[in-house]
Amino acid sequence: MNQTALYRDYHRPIYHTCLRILRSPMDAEECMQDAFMKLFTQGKMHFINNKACYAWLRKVAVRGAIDRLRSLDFQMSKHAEPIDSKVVRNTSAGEEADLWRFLEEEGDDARKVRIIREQLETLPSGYRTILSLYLFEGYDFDEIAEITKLQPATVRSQYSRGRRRLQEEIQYIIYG
Amino acid sequence: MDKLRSYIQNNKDLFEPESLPEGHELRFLERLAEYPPPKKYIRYKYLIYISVAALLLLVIAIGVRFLKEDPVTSLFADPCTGESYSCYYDQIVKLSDQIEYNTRTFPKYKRQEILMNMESILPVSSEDFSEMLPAEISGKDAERLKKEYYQRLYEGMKEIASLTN
Repeated sequence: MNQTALYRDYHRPIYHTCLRILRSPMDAEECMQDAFMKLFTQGKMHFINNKACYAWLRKVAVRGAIDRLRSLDFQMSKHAEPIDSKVVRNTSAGEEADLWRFLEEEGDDARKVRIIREQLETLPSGYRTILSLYLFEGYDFDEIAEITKLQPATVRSQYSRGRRRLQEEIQYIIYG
Repeated sequence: MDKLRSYIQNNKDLFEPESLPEGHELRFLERLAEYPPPKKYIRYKYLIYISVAALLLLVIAIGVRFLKEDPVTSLFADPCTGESYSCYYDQIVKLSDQIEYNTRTFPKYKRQEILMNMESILPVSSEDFSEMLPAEISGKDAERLKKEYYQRLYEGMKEIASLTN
């Protein structure tokens, strides 16, 4: 497959991966192009199949986006909340099950998606990155730890906090 | 799988409605054009290995051939090492035939000179030296003396043959 065809096939998902982490369309485009540039200029076009190529591109894009975030203003560490943070309100497991029931209810998917997206975007970068990698990219915690160079326990903790934060915001919007 | 994750995975297209900024492909192609094409390090590496291997093979092949057909070695090699005197006699006869053949295009006087020299050392038979040995000599000594005699004749014949090559 030639370079242009490869770019046309995968630029969109890679762009959205970057956009979820960086939020800025300009940064996301640059991040996406950086990944393709690495692929095309560093002699790395030796993949078994296109799926493997896409997986490589996506990992490079995620790493690039995280590095960009860190180099911009250390948001990952600045916004990641300490473990004893009081910002997180206590919610029980039962409440969580009730909350996500709204996803299964009949209703406007566009509205549900909009709410989830908006609330994800309001999260601090650290939480948003880990939630994006887990929920959207389908990585498991060990893979996220490897990509972000964090301890797996830290990743789990950050994910748990970020998810609870997201849950609270959504709960507030839906149920008041 | 948790509800939120499954919901997102099942509705991923709804979560990605934005189009890319206009002109992104053009900008990318411009950026790509600024870079030289990737160097084929791997191919070059293999090319070097293949060249070295081919060169080694060539050197070995030439070496083997040279050792097998080394004219100098074959000239000085003794074909009758460990053999009896009759082997030297046979070699002398072969060389004499070769000398006759090689000199057929030589000038007449030159050919005659060479053939005369050859005939002067060419034994009549493989037993003519035995007749010259004293009767009381042991069989073992007789064998050794005959071998030395025919070997010297063979060396002389080789020298004459070398003049005809």
